[in-house]
Amino acid sequence: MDKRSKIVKALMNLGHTNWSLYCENEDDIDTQNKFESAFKKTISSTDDGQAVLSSNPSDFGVTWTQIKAEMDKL
Amino acid sequence: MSNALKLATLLGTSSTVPSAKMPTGSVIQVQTTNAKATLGASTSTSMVDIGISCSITPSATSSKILIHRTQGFYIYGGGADVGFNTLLSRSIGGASYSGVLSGRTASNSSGVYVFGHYVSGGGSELADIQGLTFLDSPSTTSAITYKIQACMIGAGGSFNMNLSDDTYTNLTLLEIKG
Repeated sequence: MDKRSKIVKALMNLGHTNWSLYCENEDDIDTQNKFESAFKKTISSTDDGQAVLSSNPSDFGVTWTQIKAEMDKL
Repeated sequence: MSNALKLATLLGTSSTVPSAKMPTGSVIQVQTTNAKATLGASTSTSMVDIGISCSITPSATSSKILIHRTQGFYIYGGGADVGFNTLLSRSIGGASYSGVLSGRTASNSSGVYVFGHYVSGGGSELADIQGLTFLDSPSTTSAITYKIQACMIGAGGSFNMNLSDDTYTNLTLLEIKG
């Protein structure tokens, strides 16, 4: 049984990679503000494998509108 | 003088045994964190914090820190051969974090502190509880903070540390007298 939430499925269906969602419940992400506060993009990594994360929407490479549209198809 | 009073005098206290009088190997302090990870899902192939940490201040440089960790997780393979790694790292006195084995790095998956689970094939999934016990020798009396990180190995899959309301991560630290 696929346990992924809709937003995770949407992000993966869009082919988006190297992201993290910091939230208690992914199903609660239903607005752009909630998405932008939970989403972090791995923009690079250090020599010892640590992710360098960005909370800047300009680094996300995907928009809430795109994600919402994909979620609505599921 | 009663035997009880003689014993108390010998120990140097009338009510408790001071840690200085306890034998080597005694547990002299316990700290624990039992909480939901703040990280939900991730596809990051570099180590990211899952939002679980625990701090302890050893009473002597000779002390050992026995670390117990358990955490639930879920991996979705996504049609690719992917792995899932976790890393236990520490910060001493507010300095930068590093793997609990000196010289090891997050990208070195052979350390005892890194565990990998591999999922192969289309749409494969794995839900499990991962456990780790490790005896650290930090040689400090400064505050130490241990934290847990995780990442995917290979692109195409995802992992989730916070799948349900009852998915808790536990990190317990025991100071053992050296």
